[in-house]
Amino acid sequence: MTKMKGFRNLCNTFSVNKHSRWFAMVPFLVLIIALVVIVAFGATGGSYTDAVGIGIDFEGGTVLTVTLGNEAIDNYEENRAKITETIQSFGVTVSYSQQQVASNVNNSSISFRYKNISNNDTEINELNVKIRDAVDNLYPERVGNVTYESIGATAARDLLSKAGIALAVSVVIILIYIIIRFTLMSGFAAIIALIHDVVIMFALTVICRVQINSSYVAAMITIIAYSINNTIIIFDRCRESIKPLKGQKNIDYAGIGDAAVRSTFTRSVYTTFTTMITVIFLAILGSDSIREFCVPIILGLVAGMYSSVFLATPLWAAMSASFDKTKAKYFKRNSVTYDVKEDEEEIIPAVRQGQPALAGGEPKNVKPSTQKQQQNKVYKYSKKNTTFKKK
Amino acid sequence: MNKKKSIVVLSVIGIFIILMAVFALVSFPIANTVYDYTGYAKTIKLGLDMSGGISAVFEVQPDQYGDLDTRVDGTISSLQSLLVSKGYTESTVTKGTNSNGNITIRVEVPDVQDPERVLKLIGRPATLEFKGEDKSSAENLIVGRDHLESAYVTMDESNNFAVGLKFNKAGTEKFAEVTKEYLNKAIYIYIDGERYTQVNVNSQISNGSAIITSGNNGYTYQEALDFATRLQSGTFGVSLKQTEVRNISATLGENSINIAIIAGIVGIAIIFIFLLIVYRGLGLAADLALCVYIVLLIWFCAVLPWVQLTLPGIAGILLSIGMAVDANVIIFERVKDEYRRSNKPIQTSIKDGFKRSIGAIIDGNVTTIIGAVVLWVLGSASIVGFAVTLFIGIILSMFTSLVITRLILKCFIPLNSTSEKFYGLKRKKEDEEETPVPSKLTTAKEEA
Repeated sequence: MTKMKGFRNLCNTFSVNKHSRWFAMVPFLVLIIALVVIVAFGATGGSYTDAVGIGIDFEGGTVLTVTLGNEAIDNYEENRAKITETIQSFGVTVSYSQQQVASNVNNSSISFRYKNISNNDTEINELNVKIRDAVDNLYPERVGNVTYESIGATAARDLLSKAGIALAVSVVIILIYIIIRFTLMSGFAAIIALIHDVVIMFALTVICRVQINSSYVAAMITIIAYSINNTIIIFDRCRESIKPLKGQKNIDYAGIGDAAVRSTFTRSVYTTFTTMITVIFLAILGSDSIREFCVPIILGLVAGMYSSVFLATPLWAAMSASFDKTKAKYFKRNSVTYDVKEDEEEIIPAVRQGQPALAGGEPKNVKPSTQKQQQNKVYKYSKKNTTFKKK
Repeated sequence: MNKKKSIVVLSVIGIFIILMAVFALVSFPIANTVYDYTGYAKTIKLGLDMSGGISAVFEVQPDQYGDLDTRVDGTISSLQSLLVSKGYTESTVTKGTNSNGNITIRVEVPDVQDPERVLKLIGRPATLEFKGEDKSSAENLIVGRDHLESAYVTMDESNNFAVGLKFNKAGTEKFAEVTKEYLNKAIYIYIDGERYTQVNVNSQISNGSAIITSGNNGYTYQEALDFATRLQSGTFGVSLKQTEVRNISATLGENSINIAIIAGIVGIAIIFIFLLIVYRGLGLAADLALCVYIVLLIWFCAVLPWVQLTLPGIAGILLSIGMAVDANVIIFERVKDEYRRSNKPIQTSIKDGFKRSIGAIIDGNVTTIIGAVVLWVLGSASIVGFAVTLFIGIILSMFTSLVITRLILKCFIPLNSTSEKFYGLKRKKEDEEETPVPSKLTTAKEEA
């Protein structure tokens, strides 16, 4: 019970704005680690696309077909493991292996796809010949049963460019939507959080050494769709709290943001858990290629939750506050009377007279304000000044 | 709603879920006919990674026209779009080089077992020529690879099936000239140097699109489709020779689909238990609504033609399940809040909780819908399947959380309207600390 209470207290006092600097440092740290990893692997391995983990879908490679007849069907797993080992002894990684059943059983085969490790055609060819001969030696009773074909990048490049365009367009439309439904600054904060998710997900994938293939594009889109939703739920609370304060000066955006994060925190944790659980099981039970897809999603979900809780809200608070200030300055400079209710009190009335607060509850005693606050006429945010009109 | 009515509504929902689940899984022969009913869950098309399919390799025949690479690329993209237009959004077309140094095009079509089917889909790549005389040596008026963009099945004014032709820019000009010259005369269509059919020109066509109708009763659909496919395969920029056709296994391994199903079932079971424990009666309502959601989603995936389920597609589904749960969590947290901080009865708290969370749910889902629609419109073939799955998932999740969950809860109220225990709701205790006023003001600091 005491533990529970401790948690609740933390929930009640926790402020993302207070520590926003520390929270903002985490993504940079992740980026630096990712860069170090890329440079380290790139320098030792000689290939930077390898260091990043770009897979066969984007880079092209070789399809090696081993015709084994009945052996390819009856002892598929055994033969597959044996050949994979032989191929990988040449320093390449097999991305996929597939059983191929021909209408004439004697032509049935197993095919292996691996990424080329060099950009030089003659080198690739030499290596492929070596691999072919080595695999051929595994089956002395069959002659000429191994063929190779080098393949270009699949439609993955096309996929990537089209996905890129689609993402850019949808980001713009989403931005416009958020600006209409929320505020200008909410829109920018949400989009910055979105970009953060993409970048950090990529960095984490690099750090975890997961291959990037065409399914990765889908993983990334999944995360973007999910994370924006997360951010919006928090901004919805902010919007609700701001509503009665509209047009007033020195709104305590940070306080409102903190309250919004706190009130949605349970939901953020629950939702991330329920979304992640299936993907986690898929990653545990699935093969390497399935894991290649699930791990980025799990990493992305973490990045998405982090950005919406710890980054988007402080960003929104800071940007909204400075936007308000700039606006006020602009109005002053143009000597237009700024239509703001000058309030003598530092706290706006708890509950507007004659209007019951929907939030209910007993009014809280407000802590005595400091000198500083009085000078700056800052409106403290509290639950009490959030009033709602009933239709 | 009274007790009787709510029992009826709940039973209807229950029966709906059970029937949909049974029809998803069970297959049986339909009495007195030759047809079998196959459970709709089994008819969902699967991608290469989940179920394998057919792989066909074509060797590009060297020719004298030059600039082979560009034309190969053009052929690859027309093959790709041809397959997409037939609903095989997850098929791949890859360019390669074989051991002989010739350029190859590898076509992989998922979820197809019969190699002949692939050839039916993409036709037999060939040369297509329109000639003015019924002689193979006659001058070519229109050449498929240079002038024709696509051929497709369409309808004429009298609603008979017809074959539509669309010409590219050069083709449009050429075709206008040809139709002017050959007005009310016949032109002959040659495929691979042999006469395929003859067509009469009825009017001059200068807008680059034409339809071919059959003289008397129009084509049957199959005839029109075969004709269009033959013409379409004549639009490829290069001549192709088929070198191998094989059945291929799933790239993710044979049992990947079973793994996905097991992971899904385990994950969803945990979510169900989780909701029951945390939200009790409310959670029960959400669980029922989620059942409705899942059967509807499976049904839509089976029925819609663009859905070809791949691992990313499954992720789209998992994501939308996550969002469906999320909507319920948002609502229930609000309901809890409403009840805790007021003296409202349970019924009113639930009503207000829904009302106050609708904004957040709609805004959150609309942004995701925007993403899905843009991907649907602009994305490449394999993204489209994912976008469609995501789109259906989100629409359904909004529907089930805002309509079905609410309906079920409305039915619960007359049966049990006061039990805090059942709904997992609590009033605020007297001594409980309410969210305190934020103590530090960043705005103040910045201004100072």
